[in-house]
Amino acid sequence: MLTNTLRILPFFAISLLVSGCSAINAFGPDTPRSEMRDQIEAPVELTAWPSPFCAKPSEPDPEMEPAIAALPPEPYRARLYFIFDTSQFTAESEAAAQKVFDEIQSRQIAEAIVIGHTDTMGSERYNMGLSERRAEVVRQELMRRGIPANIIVSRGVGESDLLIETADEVAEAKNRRVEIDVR
Amino acid sequence: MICGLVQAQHAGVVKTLRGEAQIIRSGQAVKLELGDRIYIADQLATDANGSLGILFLDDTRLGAGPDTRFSIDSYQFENASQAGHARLSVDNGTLALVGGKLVLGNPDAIKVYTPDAVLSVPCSQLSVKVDLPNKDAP
Repeated sequence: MLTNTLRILPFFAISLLVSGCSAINAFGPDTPRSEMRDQIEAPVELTAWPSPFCAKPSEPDPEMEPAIAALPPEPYRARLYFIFDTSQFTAESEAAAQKVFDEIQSRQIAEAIVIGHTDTMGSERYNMGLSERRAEVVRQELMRRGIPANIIVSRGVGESDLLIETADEVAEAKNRRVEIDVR
Repeated sequence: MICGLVQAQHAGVVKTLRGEAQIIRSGQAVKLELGDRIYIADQLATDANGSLGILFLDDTRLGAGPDTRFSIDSYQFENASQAGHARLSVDNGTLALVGGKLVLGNPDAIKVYTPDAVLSVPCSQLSVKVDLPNKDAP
């Protein structure tokens, strides 16, 4: 008697499942195709849409235009690189400095935050001085191009904030940099 | 002189300005200027021809259209962890918002309260429009 019950139990469970599903899977004269089948067979496109957190507004509203036009420009960040143990730009960075200048010029009111960095070659104290000299070179360069001194904040942080994590006493070109945040 | 003791961190800076706008701080209205720092509890208002833009510390950007009144209810951004939150409320007018570093880790980090809704600011643009009803200001 008990074994019979145990044998029936799976069928009972399945019929429960099926009847449970039938509520959303109803098809008959009115709905000749199964909704569930349609759902399953529908193409799944994971990349067709942008991230749900970045959904684009659907229709432009003329009343919104002044507010949108008033949005400040996105901050512009640049890294300028230096020749080893000098405060001289590499050739590419010479050109990048011009772009920084243009970004500052395009703003109604700009600040440029200039932070000098070094790699881990040499003592911490020496590198602190070197990073300050590098930041100062960039500050001077921006001023030479006509940026007023009072919108430039510059400082050096030595080898304390490496872009590429290295051991001490490692020459790493990517760490010999000045980062500029134009905002 | 309690104010002098509290070295409050600012939340953002006025980066664009057209026409006239006021800032209401500690009950006093002052004409807004480019480069002004914006603090928590500041209330901002633009005139009929005014507009203004604020860049927040986390790079969140805000644009306010004409006849707009809104306030910075809270703002917190920790540079090291890039975490924090912001609460703004709009009484009237139009705001455009683009979320910065705050929303990268938490899509609900920046909320805008309108008289009848709470909106999360995404990393793309959010537009908010509030029409002032016949307001009986207390």
